[in-house]
Parts: sequence; C-alpha cells; structure tokens
Amino acid sequence: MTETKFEPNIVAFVCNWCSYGGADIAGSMRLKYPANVKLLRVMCSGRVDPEFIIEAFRRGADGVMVLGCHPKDCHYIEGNYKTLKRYNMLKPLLDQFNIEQDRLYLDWVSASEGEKFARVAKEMNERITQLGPLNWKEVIGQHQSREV
Amino acid sequence: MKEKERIGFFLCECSQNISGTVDVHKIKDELQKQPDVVTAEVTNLYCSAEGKSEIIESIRKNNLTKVVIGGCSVKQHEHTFMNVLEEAGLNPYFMQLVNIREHVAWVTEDKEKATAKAMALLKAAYNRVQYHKAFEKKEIDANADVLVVGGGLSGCEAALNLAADDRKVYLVETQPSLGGQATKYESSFPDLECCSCMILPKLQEVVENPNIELLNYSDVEEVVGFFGNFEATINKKAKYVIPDKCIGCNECLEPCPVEVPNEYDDFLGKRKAIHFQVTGATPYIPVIDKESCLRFKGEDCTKCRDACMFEAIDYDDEDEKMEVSVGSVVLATGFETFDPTLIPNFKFSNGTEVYTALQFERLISNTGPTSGKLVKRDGSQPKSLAMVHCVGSRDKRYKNYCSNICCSVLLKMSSQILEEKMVEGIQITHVYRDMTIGSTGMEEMYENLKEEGVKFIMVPNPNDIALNSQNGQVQITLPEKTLNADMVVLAAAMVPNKKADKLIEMLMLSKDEEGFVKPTHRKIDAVSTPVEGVYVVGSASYPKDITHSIIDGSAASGKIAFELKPGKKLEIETLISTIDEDKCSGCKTCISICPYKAIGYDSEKGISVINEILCRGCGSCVAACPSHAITARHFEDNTIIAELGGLL
Amino acid sequence: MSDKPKIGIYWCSSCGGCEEAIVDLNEGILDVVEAVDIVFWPVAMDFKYDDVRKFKDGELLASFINGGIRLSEQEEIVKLLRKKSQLVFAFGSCAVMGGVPGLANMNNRESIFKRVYKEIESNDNPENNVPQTEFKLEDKYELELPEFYDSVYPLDQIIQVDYYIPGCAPAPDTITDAFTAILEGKLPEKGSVLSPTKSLCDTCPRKETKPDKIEIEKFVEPHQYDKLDDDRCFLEAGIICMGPATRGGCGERCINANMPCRGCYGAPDDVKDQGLGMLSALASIIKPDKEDEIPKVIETLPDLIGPLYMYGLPSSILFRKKIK
Repeated sequence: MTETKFEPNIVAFVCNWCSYGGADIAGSMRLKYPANVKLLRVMCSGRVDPEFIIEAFRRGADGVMVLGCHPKDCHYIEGNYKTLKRYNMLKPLLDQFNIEQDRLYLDWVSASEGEKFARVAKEMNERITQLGPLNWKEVIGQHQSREV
Repeated sequence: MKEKERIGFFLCECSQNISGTVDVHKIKDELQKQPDVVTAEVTNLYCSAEGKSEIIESIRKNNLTKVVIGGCSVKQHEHTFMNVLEEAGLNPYFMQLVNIREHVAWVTEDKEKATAKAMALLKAAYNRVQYHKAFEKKEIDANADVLVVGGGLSGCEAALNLAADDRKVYLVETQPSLGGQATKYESSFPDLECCSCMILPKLQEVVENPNIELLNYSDVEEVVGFFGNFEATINKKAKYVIPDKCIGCNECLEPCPVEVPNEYDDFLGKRKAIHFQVTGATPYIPVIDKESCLRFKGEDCTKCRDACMFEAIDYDDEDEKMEVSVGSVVLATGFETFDPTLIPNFKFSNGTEVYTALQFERLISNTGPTSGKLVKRDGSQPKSLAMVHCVGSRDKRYKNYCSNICCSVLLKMSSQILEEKMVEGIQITHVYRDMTIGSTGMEEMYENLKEEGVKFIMVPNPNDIALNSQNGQVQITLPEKTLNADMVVLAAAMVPNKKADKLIEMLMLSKDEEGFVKPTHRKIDAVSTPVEGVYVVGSASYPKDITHSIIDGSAASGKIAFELKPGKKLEIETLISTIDEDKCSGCKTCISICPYKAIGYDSEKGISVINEILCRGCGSCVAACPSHAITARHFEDNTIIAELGGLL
Repeated sequence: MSDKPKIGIYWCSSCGGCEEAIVDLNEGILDVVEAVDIVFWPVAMDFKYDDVRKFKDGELLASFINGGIRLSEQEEIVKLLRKKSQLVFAFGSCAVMGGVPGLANMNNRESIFKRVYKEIESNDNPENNVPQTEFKLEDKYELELPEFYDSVYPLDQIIQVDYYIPGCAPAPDTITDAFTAILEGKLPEKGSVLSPTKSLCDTCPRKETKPDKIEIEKFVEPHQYDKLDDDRCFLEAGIICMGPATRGGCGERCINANMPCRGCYGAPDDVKDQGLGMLSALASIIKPDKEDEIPKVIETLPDLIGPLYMYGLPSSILFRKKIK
C-alpha cells in the first residue's frame, strides 16, 4: 500500500521591500524550493497581525513564515521590530495551546538574499514535514467548527 | 446593492518562462469556471505593446471591474499594469499582479506542483481583488522655505545664501546673539585678522535680511515630516526685554544685584542676571536669565526696569511657541569642548591657573573678563605660559580623532600674545605631539614663533603628562623632564554639541562612533544626510575651522537651491492608513509605535488621528490596534484574510 | 393568563452571578416584573422543563440565557428555548464568549475528570469512579446524567443568538438599558452587542493622564506596587489592563476600584479575537528592540492565557488547547 506523503501547506508573509525581493532573486537564480511555500505580500512585516497567523493555521496552514527586513534595514524604520516583538509573544502562546512553536517561523531576508530565501523555504518545509499536519479540525472538538 | 464583479484573468506565458513549467491553459480553463470570472485569457507577453493593448481591449469589451494578471514580479511590472488599467478607464488599484514566474515557474521542479501552486496564488488573488477599492493619487506643494538650526557661521552662511535665493529662512539660535563659537575669538589664524571685523558684517546682514526670520534665544522643540513638508515647533524663550525698544545702552546692567559666572566666557568671568551675551554681540539685545534673576525667586526686584529709560524691560514676557512649515532643515548646531578634568592625571582645582583654549581666548580678548589683559586670577602677569596640544584628542581613551584647529589656534594665541606685547618677556612653551597645521601661512607662523623664542617640546602623547598645582605654579610632568608654568592652556578636543541630541533623534539622523552627525558620504556628499531634506553643516558633522564651516553653509544652501525648487510638487503616499472615528477609543497604542510620528491625539474628540501627509502606509499601527479601528488602504484585514483563504 | 410578554431566564455553566445581576437591579426588578411575566427561571421560580415544552414556538418574547455550554442538558434546553422564543439574548460573558468556565478549554473531559475525581486531594475515590451518562442497575435503577463535553462553547456556537448582553456580570446600567430597549421596541439590528463598541479607554477616568507614548520594560502585577496613583494608566505602569481591547459600557467599575480591566465585556465589534488583539498591542509597545532583550520582557509575564483570554477563550480563533 502506498502512503500518500504528507505535503505541508506553508504560508509565507513577505514584505514588499525586502523578502519579496529576496524571493524574486531566488527565482532569477533558478534556485528550487518546495511548491508548498506560498507567498502573501504585505508592504511591511509590521503589517502582519497575529490574527492573520492564527487564521492561517485555522484555515489549513501547517506552518507560517513571516519574513521581513534585517534589523536596522526596515524600509519603514522599525516595522520589523514590531513583528519581532509580536512573534516573541505569539510563540509561547502557541506553546500553551500545544501547537508546536516551530510551526511559526520568523526570519530576515534582504532583497538580494535569493539563496537565503530558498534555503529558509526548504528548511521550513522539512521542519513542518517532520512535525506532521496540524489538523486544526481535530483541535476544535466534537462540535462543528466555527463558520469561516 | 453591490454590483456583481466582472473579473478578468490574464495569464502571461512570458515566452515559455512561465508556460514552460506552469500549465497556464489548464489554469485558464479552471478559472473560467469561477463565478464572476467573465474572461480568462492567455498571451505570450503581456508587458509588450500588443499584450497591453489586449488587456485594454478586453477590459473595455467585457466591461471588466477587476483584473488579475498572472505574470512576473510586482517589482518589475506592477506600475506597467497599473498604467494599463488607467488607460482602459479603470482605477489602477483594481488589479492584482500575481507572481507566477519568479515565485513559481522559476523555482519549482515538478510541473504539476507548479501549476497547482500557481492556481492557489491566482485563486488568492481572485478572492483579494474583490475587496480592492479605488484610490486616487494626491500631490501637495513642496515648501521651499528652510529651517536653519544654529546661528553660528555655517548656519548664517546657509541662511544668507538661501535668503538671496528668495526663500524664507527661519534661523533658530539658542543663544541671544549670533556667531556661535567664532565670536569668542579676538583674532583668527593665520593672519591674526580681527575675528569680529571679519564676521560681524555677515551677522549684521542676517539681522537685517527681510527673508530671514531670526529666532534668537529660541529652541526647536519638535520636527515632524519629510522632505518638502516639515513642520517644526519652535519655543521662543522669554527675553523679558522688548527688542524693538532696546537701544543697547547697557544702563540696566549696573544696578542688577545678581552676579553669576559667565558661561559665555566658559565661566571665567561674571555677568549679571540681565546680560548681553558679550559686548558687541549681534543682535545687541540683553536677556534676563530666569535661573539667577531674583524676581523668579519671589523677590520684587525692579532695578533693571527702573534704570531703563526706554521702557524696554517687560517682566510679563512669556515663552512663546511658534509653528513653522518648511521644506528643508539645515543642522548647524556646532560643537562643545571636551572637559579636560576627565583626564585623571590632569589634577587641578578651581582657581588653578589652568584654562581651556576657549577660556584663554576670552582672557586675551578685548571683550573678555579682563578686557584683554593677560593676567592671572590674582591680577598679576604670568611670566611663563605652557600650551598643551591634543588634550583629549587622538586618544582611544577619550576622543579618537584630531580636532583640526587646535594646533593652529595655540600658535595663533602665542603670536597674538607676542605681537601685542601682552606680557614683557613672557616665556611660552608648547607641549605637542604633532604640529598639525594645514592652512596656508601657518608654517610661516610656526617658524616665526620658534625664532622668537617660543619653546616646543614634543611628547609621545600629551594626554599622558601630569598636571599638578605646586607653590602657586602649575607643575607639568613630561616623560623626560618637569616644567613649571604660571599659567597653562589646554587645547581640548572639539566634541558634538549635546544639546542637539534631541533634535538629531527627531530628524532620524544617525551618528558616527564619535557622536557626530553622519553625512550621506564623508567624501563625496558631506553636507547631505541620508534623511532627504536634512543637511548638516559646520562642526556638527566634524570639527572644522571657520573657512570650512562657511564652505559647508554655502554647499548646503546650493544643494537646497537645486533640490527643492519653489513650485516643486510632492506626491504623497496613496496607500496610507486611516482611523475610523467611530471605532477609535483613543487608547494611543498607535501613537506609541508610529515611527514617523504621523499619529496625533485629538484631545477634544478623545481619539487618535493619522496625518495623511506623514503616513507612509507601513501598517504597523493597523496590526497593533486592539479595536481594529485602523484600516490600511489596499491591505485591509478583510482583503488579506480573503487572499489567505485562497492560498489554503 | 396575563397579556404581558413572557420571558425566560436560564443558566448553563455559570456561577450565578448573572442571576445576582438581575436581582441587583434592586427596585428596578419591580419594573421588570410589572412589565413582563417570567415563566422560567430555575434559580428563582419553580417552573419545570416540561412547562417550557408546552409553550408554542415563539410564544416567549425573549429568553435570557447565561453560562457557557458544556453539558448535553444545557444544549438541549437552550435549543428548546430557542424554539420557544422570538428573541434569544446571550446574557453575561459566559454565554457571550464562554466566560471564565471557558478556560477549561485548556483541558478536556479526560483530564478534568482525572483531576477532579481521581487525583484531587479532597476526594476519597479508590475505585476511580467518574460520572457516566447512564447507569443501569437491573430492575432497580436506570439513571442518566448529561454528557460532559470536551469543550465549553459560547451560546452562539450552539444556537442562533439575537443579541448579546456582555459583562461578568453585566452592569446594572447595561441590563436596564437592554430591558428598556426591548420593551420600547428600540433594539438595534440583530446580532448586535448591547453595549458601546468603543473600547474602555474611551471613557476611562485615567485617560487624561495617559501619556502619548508608552513603552513597557517589564510586566508587573498590581500587588507589586506599594502604591499606585489613582489617576495613573495601568498599562503605563506595566500592569496589563485589557481596557484597550474591551468594549465599554460597564461604568469602569474595576478601574474605579483601582484594579485593571480584565476584559469581561468582550472585544469591540469587528475584532474576531480579543486576546490576539491585545497581544498585538502589548507586544508592539515593548520597549527594547534587541533580539535578546525582548524575550526577557515577555518572561516577566509568566502566563498569557489568563490575562488575554480570561473570558473569551471559547470565542477566540484558537478556541481550545490542542489535545495531543
């Protein structure tokens, strides 16, 4: 019997000025990374509301990445620091809910770091594959899940 | 009732760059089945002239309301397709460019997976685009006026040039009078030219220039904004003197019962509570110092007012706040002197005959505490004078740079003393490390001084010598001998003006390791800063002499003249964030975090308000608002969640 | 039978505080009783479930249901009341968002029963008996107990709710305003929460002195202060106050008692998750920027669920802890 290999669903929030550009460079360099990683563009990683991250998990993401500019390089001066702070509070919260902290990943990718982008995407895919599916629906319990 | 959307999909093959991996035709077929999708098309190159026309035609023919393009990076062609939409009569924000080239075709091995990923991204865009709203670009007029902070020589030069360029210049100076540190020098190197004679005409020009609004005895409290659009709040300190009525007769000084050390003379001499900065200052207006005046300690002393025959004294004067709008800011805040007492082996208490170079300048200046007589505190003349170079300079323990002017200044002082025959037979000795005297004429002065009997002792590092009081003299311990002098002058390093720190932070400027403001580039762009519209001149960026301070001022004014032409238009950010008055409770969380200070508090309404000109649309406040009262244009919560839904 | 409109009041997983709140109307209760007929109120009146079953569908004008749902009995009765009532009001934080009982969503039936019936120090239960849904003893007993669900649910995840009256317990003014609106026919559109949407900061007595910029260097508990000025914003003092993330209308009773807001009135309209909203706001105003210093500030806050989700865990996006 062939087992269908678990292919994670990973959402990556990328910022317009840095990490989106990094992903572009990865493309220009034809570096390959798993198609499981899907990008959602925001102007600044500071726009990423923790609600988006949890919603992503709820809607089926097994892993969520937030990729912003390196500290001191944020196009909007300090948006990435806001993300860093929220991420630091969100991780222990996930832990309290028994959601593996590694399902949420924050990193800095500059507009020229194509290799880093591809590497980070690959590593995230490996990590989530190891962790297995999040199976959000089983988390809700006996009754039907909240309406989307 | 909302009209149904008519969505068009345009999938680019990108000459096989996309279609080689992503099955665009399969996706096209899938998309056509979606509700509200009126057309799904494929072409070879949508960025080409034909491709663009195809889109325009399709929009018009199909009455499309929203457009999704599957193609390359947003950074390559977002603008292209926004223009296409405009041409076709649609608001440019009614489209989404989905990157299925750099982010899918070029990075995915497996074609099936690539196609599935592209489909998910396009589905996300399909969800998203239905939330897109129309936004219009906005332009404002750039303000050609300039704020110059600092009325020293570099600031005055910049102000005069800009005023000549027919602009309004606000010149803010914290002291009552202009000229900065340069007015403390009686004479200048290399010619011993009279400093006041040299600079006073310039300062007078500043006072009289109709385009320059001189805000002396004032400080800049706040600056927000950006190039072409700065708003500054200036605090005009209460002078307690009416400038228009004062004729500068000095009669108010004598009766004043208060005497305090004179900071202008580096605390060498004394002044009254009501005082002029120095005799001959420009403008020649006295001010009452709140800290020392008896009236502010509860006494009803009216001696100065009684003595004034012109009713120029006004005890009811108050600080006044003033708001100005300018397009550029010039930072000319100058320098302070390093405190030699920070060097442990320099032991001397108050009263010892050890002076910093600036203090000594005052001592030998006609407008100084001794009217230019070179005398010790006890009134007697010093027979021996030691001048120590490099104090606190070129030393990792203190300041690790050369202040450029000190060697020249000390040589000049020696020349001045000898030429004016201040003390018959005085023995002057210089203790130095290197004679760093770059200006023309200084080498000649150096040689002359040697011929006239001035001694020069070279030591490895003047910061390692020791100073001690000994029997009414100062004992200087050098590596190879000990020197005794009646008076010692220390050329202390020039350091950044600490009072400018708050302003530097507000303008979001960076400092280098030594605390000076970093220009855009030390070599090739030394008066601009990375903050557009803000310039740094004079010793605020690096210790300079008068020559180079004035050159800086000219340079900055020149740059402003061509970078900020009157009539220039600025496009403000379209995709800003806005606060819903009906949802905002005024919790001020957003105000705490906006890096552009674009959010203010309306205390009447009890809510926070975003300044649409200052907002850059980063969305940090949107994510932080616990009431979800802030909306990020084009990146609203609903829009992003809809996009998310399509991805998963 | 009088012509007065009929109302029912029912409690699910609750503490009785909401019933108390109605009694707290003091003389106001007389106005209520004058205007309506209370036909079902287990805590105060002797009506039975069958009495309710006998009503026609929609015969009750309104039912006020408090408490979270975690027993099959509660589910059954609220569904019954829904059928028999024209309007259903979720009354109090538990019905509106799950309430404090909702914190049980950090556990499930198994772990709760294990603790309460087996491990707890005050029980002597050597056979490890736990409640069963049925128990039959031949020819003698056929007993039933409601099923104990793994999770606590807010009312609107079980039945359609028309209006929400928030609070733990709702303030007298909130209750009076709601009753008045019902009797005068001036209710807003269905689905509304009967309390202002603007968060508590809007009417907070400490708003005037709240500085424009707040930066948190560490989180503290109120008791760690010897004295706290009664006009000082709690957040500015490093104490977590849910005020910015909680809708107003409660009269700031806690603030006036020198205690920070705990969030019992729930999130403002449009905010899906009160806890996440507050998390984002709090994290954003943490002072240090360095990657190694930020966690240190967060460590001064040992538990996140308590402050952020004291009342709203079942209505949050996360809903419950994932059981491994």
